[in-house]
Amino acid sequence: MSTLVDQRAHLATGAATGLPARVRSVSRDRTLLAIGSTLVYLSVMAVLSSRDLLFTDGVSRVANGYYALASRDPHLAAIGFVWNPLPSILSLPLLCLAPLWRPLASLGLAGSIPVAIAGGVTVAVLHTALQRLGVGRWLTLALSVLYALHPYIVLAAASGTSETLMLLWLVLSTSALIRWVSHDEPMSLVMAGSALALAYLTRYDALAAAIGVGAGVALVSALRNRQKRFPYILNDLIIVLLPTAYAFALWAVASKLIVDQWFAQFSSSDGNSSQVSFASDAIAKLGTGPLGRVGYALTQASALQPLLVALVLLAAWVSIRKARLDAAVPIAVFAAVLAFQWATLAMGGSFGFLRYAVSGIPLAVLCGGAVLSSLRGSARIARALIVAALCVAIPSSIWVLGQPTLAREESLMSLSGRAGQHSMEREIAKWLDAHGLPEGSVLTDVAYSGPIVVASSDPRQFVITTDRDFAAILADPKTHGVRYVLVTKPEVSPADAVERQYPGMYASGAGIATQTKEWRDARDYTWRLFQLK
Amino acid sequence: MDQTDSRLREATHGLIDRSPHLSAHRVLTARQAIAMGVLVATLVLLGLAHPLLVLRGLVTLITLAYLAALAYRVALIINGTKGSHMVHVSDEEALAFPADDLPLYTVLVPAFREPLIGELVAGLAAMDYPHDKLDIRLLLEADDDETVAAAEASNPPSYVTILLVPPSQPRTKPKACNYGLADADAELVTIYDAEDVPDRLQLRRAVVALHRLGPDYACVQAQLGYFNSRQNLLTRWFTVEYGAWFTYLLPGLIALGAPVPLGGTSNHFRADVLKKIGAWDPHNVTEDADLGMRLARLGHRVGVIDSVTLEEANSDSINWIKQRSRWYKGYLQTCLVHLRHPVTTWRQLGSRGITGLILFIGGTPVLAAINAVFWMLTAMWFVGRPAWIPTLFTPFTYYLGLICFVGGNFLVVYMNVFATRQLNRPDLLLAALTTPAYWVLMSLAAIKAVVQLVFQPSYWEKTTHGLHKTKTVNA
Repeated sequence: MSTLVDQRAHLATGAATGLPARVRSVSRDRTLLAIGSTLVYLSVMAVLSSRDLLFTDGVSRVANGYYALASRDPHLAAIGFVWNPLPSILSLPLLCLAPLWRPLASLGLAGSIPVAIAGGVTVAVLHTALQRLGVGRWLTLALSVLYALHPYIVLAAASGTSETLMLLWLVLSTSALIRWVSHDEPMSLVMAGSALALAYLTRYDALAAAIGVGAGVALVSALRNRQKRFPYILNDLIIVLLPTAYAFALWAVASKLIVDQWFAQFSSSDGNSSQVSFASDAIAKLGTGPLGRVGYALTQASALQPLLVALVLLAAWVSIRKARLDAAVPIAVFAAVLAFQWATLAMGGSFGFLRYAVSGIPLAVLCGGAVLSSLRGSARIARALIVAALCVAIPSSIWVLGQPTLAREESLMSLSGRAGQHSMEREIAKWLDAHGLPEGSVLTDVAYSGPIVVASSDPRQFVITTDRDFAAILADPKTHGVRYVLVTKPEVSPADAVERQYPGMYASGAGIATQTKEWRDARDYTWRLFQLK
Repeated sequence: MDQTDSRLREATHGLIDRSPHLSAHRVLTARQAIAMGVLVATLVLLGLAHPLLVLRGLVTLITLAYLAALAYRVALIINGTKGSHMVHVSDEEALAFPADDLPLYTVLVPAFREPLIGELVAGLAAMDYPHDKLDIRLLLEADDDETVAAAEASNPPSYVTILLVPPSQPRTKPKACNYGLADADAELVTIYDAEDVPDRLQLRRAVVALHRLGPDYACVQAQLGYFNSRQNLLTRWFTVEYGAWFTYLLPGLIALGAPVPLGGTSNHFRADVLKKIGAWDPHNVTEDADLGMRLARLGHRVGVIDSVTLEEANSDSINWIKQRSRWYKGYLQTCLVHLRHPVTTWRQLGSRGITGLILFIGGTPVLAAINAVFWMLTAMWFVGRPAWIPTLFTPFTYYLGLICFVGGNFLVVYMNVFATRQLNRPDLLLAALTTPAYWVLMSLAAIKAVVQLVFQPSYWEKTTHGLHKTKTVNA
């Protein structure tokens, strides 16, 4: 192993000192890739949003940022504790400009634009990681393009999904760890650890990556340090895991202090567990028993990267057979996330959405890179086969996007877009705006009405769940100046705070209000506005 | 006797006579005193009329200062860990330098109340350097009978001279060094404390390094390490702190082109430059940091060499606070001296340099002192939630403060953990993780320093050495 690593290290220094032109062209490749893919993602974003094809995950996270800035009670904690905060925080700068250009808020562009840029940067970081694995210039370029233009990566990056942002941090962490494995510089561990913490602050699935990385770092450290083995393992582990542990503790403590729940993402009524339990019937349909559901998830992952399993096995083989620890780094980072998704789905604790399988895409590309870097000069056919394996992903992922059973969210996105759900939401906002209501006139639970509040040009007219006086106003709305209550069907809003306090509100006004107006889209998604008596 | 007198006068007043504006013999110049008086008076008057406004303004200003210091630290980390800013001279290179070309080297060893001096100097005498080109000078206070007797009893070799500094005020290490430097005609000069254990080849490495770096460089600083770092938690903290200093802070300052505060020992100067710029300021209690600033202002550069001098880390908390308060007081003196003519300093150091001077030299003690206030506010808030605390913070200040509190504290602890790995010292992990407790000591020292700066600006808090030995003897 050492000879190979030495050789590559030698090549790398040679490239840095003796061959500046080559280095320059490689870094130009990288810059062009980042800019090119960002432009692609932004253009696709423009097309999707203009046709009302919106991922609810992205819009909801922007909405959370919007409450922190523009609600009746603007405060940072209004970002909420149901989702990890980074996607919402990143949308804040552009949200400040929302009064100048409404779509930043109403179409969630304040979130989608940073995410599209993050997607472009990810391609550049992936390019670096492939270079560090020792893949040649043209193959690195080919693999990076295959990643950047993977249909699902494009869709995810153009729709403001938090997964895209998480992939950036995970690919960054992978790249830093590859460097650490071959160069033993503690600074690389610092980079990897910081990226993991940012990944956790983006999505909690990243915790699985931290566990995978922890195991990998402990192993490498144990192999490397023959003396004082345990102290060195501990030292390396603390460097790579401390930021994530700190982010984890910080988020839990903040959540406890502000909403009195350590892990609101699991325990709150809008949190994951609760949402999942409402969807348990739908989840049960995905497959018979735990194994059936894992089979379902495996089908999704294979549709996005048909030769994922083969490439992972090959990279593992390279890693063991050629003592190339760096080849195993992508597996430690991404396989852990996939395994976590599959395990929670098997236990019925996850929706099993297609986007949860997105980690398989960089995993396959990086494993492909690891295998390519281990091939000798004459192995042309083997090289072509690996590239072909990654190319197959393009038609197969286009195919899966058309399968409503496998790509449920994506189908819903196009269904609700065509049914006019978002134009209905904007219409509701417009109707309310036209009435020039005073501050705090409309009581509503933004877990469901978020898109309406975000579409309104006067968000201060709403009393929303994140307001610190929400509970008091909910208990006695009339006295606090509330005139209207905005609710949707209890079947789609099982945890609606207003409906819970006043059962039967949607059906008949719960005896305290009368229905003023009703909006309905082509899919029968309905909102009702009640006036308090 | 006359000669001794004039030499003593030169040691004490040389800098004042030639460049009074560069000496800390007065803490504040008249202009500075007036400016400060006017500022304080305005704040008090305004505070009487609009107390909340003034308090909020101060809290905002302090928060911004914290944020700036934090940002500067991040810049140091990023720049300091990128590439190497250290001169490496291998053993072979050091030994290969022709003996005939080695310059005459003066080694100043100031000592005060060090009864173990004979034993301590043995470490220095073991240096690999031709004895006929070595001029070790023990600088002892003439009335420090015990040390003088011990030094004489140790029967020093011919290249070690005992120089007695006549008793006079200020009784400081820099004055002794100036006195020792006066008639030295060596090409290179360095200082060691009596208990230092320098790398045997350090003098040779310094010669090679200065030769390689060229005349722009007036000084190279060696790294400091501690032979008793495992003695207790305090010495571990101390070692982690210095590890961080040499791993990324000092290289960061060099990379940013900011002036480098020199360490108290193991800095190797070109003697002619040192004499020309007025040598050490006997009234500044961190003459080393001050000298670093002065070198930078006069256009000289400082390098760092990869060679370690082992020192004794302070193992007793009272003794530690004394030492640290002296350093902080000296940092404040230094900052005030070099901000007497801010425009000139800015022209000489550039904006990066003066930012470093203000944030690093001035900011460190001031913010360490203010820390105590904000920790108390935080503790009070969590205990009793008094309603007046939130009124001190505007939302803007509050969120900035939150970033400092949540991000800044973590960052410093985390970078200390990184330093332990960089130093290959996993045994220091616990010390790195518990650094916040060390900050409490720093804060106490900073408060003491501020108070002393007002009442005893040139008083030298003597650090007791040899504590690691007494401990072993007692045990």
